Amino acid sequence: MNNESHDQIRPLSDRKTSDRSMILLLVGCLLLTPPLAGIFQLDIRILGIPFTGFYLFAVWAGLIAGAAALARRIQKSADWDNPEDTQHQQDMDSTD
Amino acid sequence: MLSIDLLLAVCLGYVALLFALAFYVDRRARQGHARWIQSPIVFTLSISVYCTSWTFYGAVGSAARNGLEFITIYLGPTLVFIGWWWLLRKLVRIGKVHRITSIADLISSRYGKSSSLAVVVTLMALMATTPYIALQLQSVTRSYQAIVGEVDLTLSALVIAGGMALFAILFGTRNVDANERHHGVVAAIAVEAVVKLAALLAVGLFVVFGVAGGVGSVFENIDTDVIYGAGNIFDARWVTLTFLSATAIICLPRQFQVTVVENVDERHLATASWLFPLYLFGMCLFVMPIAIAGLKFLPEGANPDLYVLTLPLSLGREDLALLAFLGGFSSATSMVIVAAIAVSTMVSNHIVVPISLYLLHGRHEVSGDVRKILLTSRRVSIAAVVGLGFLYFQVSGGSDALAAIGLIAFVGVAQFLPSLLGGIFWRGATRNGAMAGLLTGFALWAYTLFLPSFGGSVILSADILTNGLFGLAALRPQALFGLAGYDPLVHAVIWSLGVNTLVFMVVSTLSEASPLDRLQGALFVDVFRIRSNEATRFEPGQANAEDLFVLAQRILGTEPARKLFDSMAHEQGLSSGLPWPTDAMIVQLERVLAGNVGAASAHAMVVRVAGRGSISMTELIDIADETQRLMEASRELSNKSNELTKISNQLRKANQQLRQLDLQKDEFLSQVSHELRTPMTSIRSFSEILLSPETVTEDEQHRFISIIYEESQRLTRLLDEILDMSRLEAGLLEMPLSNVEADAVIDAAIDTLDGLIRKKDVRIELQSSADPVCVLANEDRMQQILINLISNSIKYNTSEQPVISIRSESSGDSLHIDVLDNGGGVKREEAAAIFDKFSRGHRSNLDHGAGLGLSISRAIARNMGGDLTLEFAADKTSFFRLRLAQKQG
Repeated sequence: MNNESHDQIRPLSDRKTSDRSMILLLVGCLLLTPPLAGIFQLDIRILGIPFTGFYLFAVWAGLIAGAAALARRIQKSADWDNPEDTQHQQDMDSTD
Repeated sequence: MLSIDLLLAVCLGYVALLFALAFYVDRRARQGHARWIQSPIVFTLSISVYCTSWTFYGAVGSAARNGLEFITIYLGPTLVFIGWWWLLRKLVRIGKVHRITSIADLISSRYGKSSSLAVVVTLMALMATTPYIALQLQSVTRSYQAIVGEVDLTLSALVIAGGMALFAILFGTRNVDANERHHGVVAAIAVEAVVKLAALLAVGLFVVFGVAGGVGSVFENIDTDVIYGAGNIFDARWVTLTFLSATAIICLPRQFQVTVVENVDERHLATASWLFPLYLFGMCLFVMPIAIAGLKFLPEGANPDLYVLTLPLSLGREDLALLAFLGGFSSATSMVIVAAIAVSTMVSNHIVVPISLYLLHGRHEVSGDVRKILLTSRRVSIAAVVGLGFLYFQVSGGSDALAAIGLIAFVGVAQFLPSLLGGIFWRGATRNGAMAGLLTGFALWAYTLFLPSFGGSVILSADILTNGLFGLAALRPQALFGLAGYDPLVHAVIWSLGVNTLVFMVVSTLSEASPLDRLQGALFVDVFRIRSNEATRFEPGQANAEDLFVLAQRILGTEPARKLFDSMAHEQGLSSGLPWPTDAMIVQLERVLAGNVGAASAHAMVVRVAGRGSISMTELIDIADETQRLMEASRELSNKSNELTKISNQLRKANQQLRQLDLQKDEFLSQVSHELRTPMTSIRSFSEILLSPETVTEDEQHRFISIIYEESQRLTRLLDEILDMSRLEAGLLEMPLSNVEADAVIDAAIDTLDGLIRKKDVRIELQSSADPVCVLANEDRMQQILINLISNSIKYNTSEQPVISIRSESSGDSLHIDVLDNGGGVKREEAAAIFDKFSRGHRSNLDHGAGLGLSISRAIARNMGGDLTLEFAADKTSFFRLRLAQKQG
């Protein structure tokens, strides 16, 4: 709800980026908690490391990489709404 | 063995370094030279105050006992930061717009600036933080003890606590504006964050590559149970711990302080969204190897919580041990300092200030400097908070209860979550709901987790723990209402947070929100819609600018207050003097004050000075909805102007039609009165003659009476027709339809007119299809139409030898009955008007009817689902065509 008007003044690509951050969050939640995580509790080793540990750290690293990519996109997007940019946003509102 | 002297020297040197750094940065920042301190990296490092000594030492301990489970404590915050766009960003925005000073301030401000709520949250935060501080003191003293052997625990703890309190007071309360960043503190904890990460990584690298000889060999000959814990690690406890740590990164007072209150730029969150998880990743990377190495190389019975320290010690790497000690020291001190600042702000703003306001009540004209009170109260509060932690450590130090306090505190602060999330996403949340939820959750937390953690020594006896309160098994603290078989932590989370959320929501929906509660709810929930300077026009009242200035002076100090008022006057277009106490100005002032003393206290002060009355509900709702309405209005304006043009066109058209109808009605009325007038006139005049019988003969009398009789009949017929007409038009005439054989009706109509036909010597020609055709019609009414058509043809026929032909033929679904005659037809120019009321063709030189016949006939035909039209044949002769629906099937 709160983002409704906000979304309207943001370009589509930016909205997609924030939607992707939600997807990343959901993927993280699913992969790191049971029941899905239970699939990866296996009794094998990779490079001598127990698989589950390897799996958890790999997912974690993946999430960090994803978040970094999204953060770059969001920071690049022109109309980041910050209190400092309120004037800018107001301009957009009035022309909306 | 490291010597005590060396350890103390390094320790003191490190602390001196931190003090110097904080001092230097503070000074540079005040001169405006420390932009770098406001970088996103420093912001991220300051968030890492999450990693306390409980992480630094405790994570390895936990890994040694329960395997990979320790990782959940860092996965939760990772998830929260990855989803920063949805929650943290909103919290930070609200924090900025409303100048929030603490989590208690946020909750109180959201729920109508309620001071009682602020007090409750403050006390809860204090209760959850005190043992946590004690835990830090314990870990520092224990690590000290591990290096130098037997020491005076009380003394060393006291020294450490005193040092931390001093640091927090020196650099945490330089300025009364709690909303302002504490640059010195931030710089120090950023350095400490680097130290603790470096220390843990160094120990980890040493263990993996120096001791074990490679990544793979660390895990050689290690039973999987050590890594996975006993059995399935992905169980309810795993989920609970992940959830709790996610909650803690939002709700812990110190986390709220560094993430929300001290944030200078929302953009920093974007960097922290991946950098902070990366930091946690680094902190966790070597935890498992260190734990395994500790289990392998250290003697059985060694405290796993100190492996990070004792492992390098036992392997003869005193330099690493020293670094590890500094890492642990850093973790502990940064936590205590930030927590003390955060909690003392709450205690000072929500407990001390309201009390002193109350005590000063009645003599606030005396120009006492509230700033002094504020600063003093905050300093005393810091000392008190750290002192409480020290006391707690003294009372329960060394017990296992303290080691478990980290998670217990997590569950305690998690009780803020329903009110916090509900407050910023749900307009319907009310103060009563938040209060009820918080108190219930907190009571359940204390009963099911906090008090049992003392193992029966505090308040709840061992007997109550095993047999339940009053001996009732249903009230066993760790198996409440028979919910047994769960881990005590999971059990406590289910009960306390579950019931908390439920009570919060139920009471919210049942209770009425106060006007201010509603307004704040709208401002918080819609923080991205409402621009900060817009949500201001509320709360009417008469305030005195001078009183407000005095108030501002007392809280902000003379110079800042003057600057603020000058800028406000400037904004109002005044070149000198005090600004007008407009609503906007008062609200702006209240916000600035809120940054110093919290929303509830600021509101109370301003209300007292401005002397405002109560605010009406409608006014508040109006204001809260105003921005929303404005935006919608501007969006709709363009749509509406188009729509308006369309509508005005439609209206014009409708108006024209109405006028035409009006004209027709007038015409109709004048015609009706004209038609009625003719027979009435003759009736009247003949009656007048008859009233003087001596002048008329009996023959004349008889003739006159028959004229009157005929005229009355005509009048009756006319009225009947008008009545029929109006009923037809109103759709009131009942006309049951049935299947009628068309030829039979035509024959019947001709039979009825037999007399007239003979009299005028008319020849009737009938043409019809071979098979009898059935139509859907009302027999009497259909006959009425045909009689009307045929009699018209007879009456108006001017031919010497009148011939009328009636033919019927099927055409698709309908039957056409055409009535033609050789009497001159209808002129084309008359065709359009022939069905109008009172219209008569050019042939009607002899008036027989009112001119309603055709229009009635047509109305009847249409009512039966057919039509009556005037058609023109190829040879330009005209005829009437009655169309009726044929019987289906």
